Amino acid sequence: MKHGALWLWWCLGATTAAAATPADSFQEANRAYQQGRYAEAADGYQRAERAGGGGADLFYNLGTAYYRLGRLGPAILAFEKALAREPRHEDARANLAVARRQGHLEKAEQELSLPREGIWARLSRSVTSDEVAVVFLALYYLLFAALVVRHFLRLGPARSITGLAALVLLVLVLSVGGFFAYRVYRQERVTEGVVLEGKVALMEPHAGSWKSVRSLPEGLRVRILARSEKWVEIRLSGGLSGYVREGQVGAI
Amino acid sequence: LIIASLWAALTASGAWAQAPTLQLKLDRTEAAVGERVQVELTVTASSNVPVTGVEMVGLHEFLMESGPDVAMSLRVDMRRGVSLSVASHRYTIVPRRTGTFVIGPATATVGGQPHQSNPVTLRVVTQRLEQVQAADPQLFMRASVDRPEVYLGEQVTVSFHLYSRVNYFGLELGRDPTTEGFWSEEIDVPRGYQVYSQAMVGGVPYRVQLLRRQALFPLKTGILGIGPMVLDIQVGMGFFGGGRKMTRASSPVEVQVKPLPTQGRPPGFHETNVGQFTLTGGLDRRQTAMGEAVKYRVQLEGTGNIKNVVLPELPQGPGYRRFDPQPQISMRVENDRVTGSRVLEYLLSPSAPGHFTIPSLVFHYFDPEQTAYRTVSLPQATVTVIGTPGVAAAPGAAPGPAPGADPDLRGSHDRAEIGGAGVPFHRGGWFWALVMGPILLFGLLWVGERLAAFRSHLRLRGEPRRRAAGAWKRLREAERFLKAGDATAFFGEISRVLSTFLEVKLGQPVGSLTLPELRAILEERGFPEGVASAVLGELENCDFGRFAPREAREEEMRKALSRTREILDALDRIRPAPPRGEAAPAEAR
Repeated sequence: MKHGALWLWWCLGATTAAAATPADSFQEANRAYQQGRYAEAADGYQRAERAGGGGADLFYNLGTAYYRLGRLGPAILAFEKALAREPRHEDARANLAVARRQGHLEKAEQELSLPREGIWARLSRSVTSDEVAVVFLALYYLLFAALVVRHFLRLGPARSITGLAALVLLVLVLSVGGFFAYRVYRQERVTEGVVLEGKVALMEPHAGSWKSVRSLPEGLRVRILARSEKWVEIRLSGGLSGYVREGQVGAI
Repeated sequence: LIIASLWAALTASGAWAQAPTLQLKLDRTEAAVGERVQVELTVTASSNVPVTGVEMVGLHEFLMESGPDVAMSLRVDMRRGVSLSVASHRYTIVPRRTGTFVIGPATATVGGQPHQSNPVTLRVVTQRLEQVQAADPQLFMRASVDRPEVYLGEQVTVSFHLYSRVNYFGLELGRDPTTEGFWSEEIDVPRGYQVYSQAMVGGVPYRVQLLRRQALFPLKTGILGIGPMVLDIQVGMGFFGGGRKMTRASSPVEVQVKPLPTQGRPPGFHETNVGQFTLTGGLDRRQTAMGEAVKYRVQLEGTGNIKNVVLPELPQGPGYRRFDPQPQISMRVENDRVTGSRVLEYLLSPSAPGHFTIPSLVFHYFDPEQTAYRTVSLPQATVTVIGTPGVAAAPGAAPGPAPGADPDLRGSHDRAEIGGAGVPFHRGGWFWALVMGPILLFGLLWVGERLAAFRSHLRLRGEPRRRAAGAWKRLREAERFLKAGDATAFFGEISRVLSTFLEVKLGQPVGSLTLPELRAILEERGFPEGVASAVLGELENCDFGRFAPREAREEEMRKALSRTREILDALDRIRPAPPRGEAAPAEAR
């Protein structure tokens, strides 16, 4: 009897474990999406993520399902996650633009006097760290190759040209290396997030209680500074910082 | 006499009798807790009319220190020619708590008819403005609340004012007032000149600046305190400067928070739902298709603590699946009252074709103005679900676009790589190995080159020693030639030994030099005369020794060998001076 119960438990566990693979959850969610059951689809994609899935397409589909449900904040968060993994994911980029337009985010950002994204930030978001790392390595090896060639060349025009090329390569290596370090620093130290709800009050402590200083639109991109059990400290791109309740902002 | 008689008759008859009056008055309209307040009821009536049953109302809230002290007087109204009886009833009361209290109307029976006085209002504060003024009549701060007694959850507005008779040029907040036990919302203070007003305090005019206003919603009952606000003020700065900084603090304020009445409290009422509210909303459409969600909007509008009101929750019902909404809150201040709306938009996804019903939503709140509980509600609603899964609703059924409908939206991806990202290349060991590879390679090459250079340096430094050692070795070779009796080879070897040793010592070749040239060099480099002569003599001897007779040569060779050893020993001890024009080596200095 005891062995039977154990066997049953093992079988159930095995069945559950088998059903919880990312691919199964993803396909199940896709079927729900195709049948218009967007809420179930979103649940399925989230299950796939919890089970270890993490590709750009998974987050793209999740965002699309959320959008179909009218939940712009979570949709924008999912699209941002997809683009963080694959910056040139055209569909995610297009749907993010659709969601931002639907949420009138550009107008809301203007009302909040938020500055437009700088060229470095845009460049940083258009490539992955691995891509930057590969470019860096290529330039780095070219630099060493130039140095080696120059070492074996006798004095003459060829040696001068090789030296100049090495100098140019050194500048490029330092530039790309600096950009790479900046990206890695941002990945390690800076957590970006998205406002998940509409009209979220940005609060600041005031005389033992809280005071609302701004109302944030759904889908707004913010920087997460710190998290506690109930509050999340955030900073807007304009520099204004404050607190929102836990759950009102999701990390990318 | 006639006139006097007529006046006496009229007075006695009361033809111009005075109508009785009851006048209630206070010696002040605002008092602090614990401060004595005089209440006086004056009953004026014709002297021949009896006054009975004087009754005072509204004094039970105060400590009765004395009274009623009744003083009677008679007064003659010369104009009307009547005599009046004036009865003054005085009470001395002491307020026990802050608040606004209505005293009166007092009642009395005059000439058998009931009469009543005017009511008076006494505002009791923690500290009176005049008391605050007494601390510094030039500059003081004051905190005041619009109502000292409120219900739990009812808004009370606290204002901070600065009263000044001096010029000030800068205000700096030293400490925020504490508002523990309250939910606080800032009320914007008007800008510019609107923030200033004039006021008379104790007969002295002041300029008054409104510093701050806060809407406070009590979260618990009892007496709640609002702490002092501290301000650093730069005053008295003239044309040449010289101002000084003064610190002023507002007095703490107390608010009495009453519990909400239990009588008539509806079940399901939440204590933060205090104010005046309306509830609107409903479905965005009444017909939908399978897979398409409908929106159910619940909007509460009104005055009160809109951020903390608790809306009724839509239950998960049969026939639909509810997705929890996030509340959308908008707030503003109208006439110093916090108003706004709180909106919940539920997404309801039908679970089967047919119909599903959304139950009625009921919201209870307490209206502190009416001191009554009120109820507002949304009616029950029914949604028709048509079609098979994925089929859109009938055209025209939806008043607006379905949630998430957008022609530009791109569809989901069926087949995709959804595996976890794993460790990115730039964080893996390969990346760092590739980065470090050339650096290590160049490092090794550099170390190798340095080692080679060092070895070469060592070799160069050891060359003279090696050559000197070689000279001694050659001397043993010469000894071998001696034993063999080969004079030519012997003297040749001795000559090379001496030349080599001299080259080691002088650091320059000597083979091509003549003996006089060599002597000059040896003298120049500081070789002792004896040694130089011995060297030169032996070199000359080597030239002649090769041609000596055989029997004499062996002896000569032995002597030459012995002398050469002595010469080498002597040369070994000599440290020659540097050549002309060169600095002496460090060890020689």
